[in-house]
Amino acid sequence: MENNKPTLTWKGAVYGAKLCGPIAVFSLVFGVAFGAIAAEKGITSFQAVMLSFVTFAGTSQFVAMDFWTHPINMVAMFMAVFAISARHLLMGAALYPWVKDYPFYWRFISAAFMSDPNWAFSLQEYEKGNRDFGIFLGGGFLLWVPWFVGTYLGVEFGQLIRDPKALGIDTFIVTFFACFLISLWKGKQRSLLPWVAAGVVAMLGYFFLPSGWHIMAGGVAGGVIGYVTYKEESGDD
Amino acid sequence: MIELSTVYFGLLGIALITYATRLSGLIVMDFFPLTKRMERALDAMTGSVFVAFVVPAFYKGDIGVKLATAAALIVMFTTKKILLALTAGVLTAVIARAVLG
Repeated sequence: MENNKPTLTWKGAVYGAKLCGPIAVFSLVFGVAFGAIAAEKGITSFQAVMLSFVTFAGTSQFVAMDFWTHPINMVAMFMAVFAISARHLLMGAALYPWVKDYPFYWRFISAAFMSDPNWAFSLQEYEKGNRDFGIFLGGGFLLWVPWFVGTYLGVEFGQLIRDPKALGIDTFIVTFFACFLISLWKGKQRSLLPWVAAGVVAMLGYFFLPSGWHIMAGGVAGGVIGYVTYKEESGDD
Repeated sequence: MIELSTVYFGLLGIALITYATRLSGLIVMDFFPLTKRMERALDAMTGSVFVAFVVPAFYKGDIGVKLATAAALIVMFTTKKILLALTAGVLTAVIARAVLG
């Protein structure tokens, strides 16, 4: 075991960027997809690029586009964004041992660069005893740049499309989220009941609740089931 | 046309809410360290939110959405390659709508 104190080096940042390198391609492609959807919704390239630049969050930006109609139901949209982003709370908590030894303002910087791939790589490195926070930041930076560049390309390309539906662009969000779900599966014991509950409650909410609330309702239902069915010392980690 | 002030209000809201969720975990732990049980509940909620989005979207979607989702999931299960799966999904939607729509 080498030095266990958290550090931040340029070398670490380059290493983090290298780890996230292949995924930066995905970031670009998803950025293009996001831009194309935003263009379809009438969002300008300046607005879309600003959103990607500041928000840097595929899932929350995509879910927001699903609510971007005229008129926008702001409450429903914000709730959906919150629900879909709530997983970041857990990601932040996992990163906490790392940032707690830094000056407080560091957390604000870390939050800005938190995305799933660089987070996952950083935790892997942390498990190995590597305490260089540059890994997280370097990886995040390398994913962030293609995200807003891709968004710009996507809007420009999207504005050329006459019939987005014929090109299947509107199906992207639901297929992406469905595939993303597969990576969230934590085994029968931990995921099955919450997910079934979420599906049932979401459908009920879809029929009986005001528009958009079904996402939050399903998520909370799944969370409650997870809480209730948790068994101490179940050793299923 | 959506009014410009509404557009920016919406965009700012999306950015701020997302940022707040990212920051929360890094700060909340100072005051309430997450219990194992709470962690599990939040973890269950993470997947559940996506289920809650996907299931009704699939239900209300047209034949293009339904077939695209099915195709993407099949490719994702068999190859574990998400770009490939999403490409298969979009292509399926294009074909389905051209043929059946």
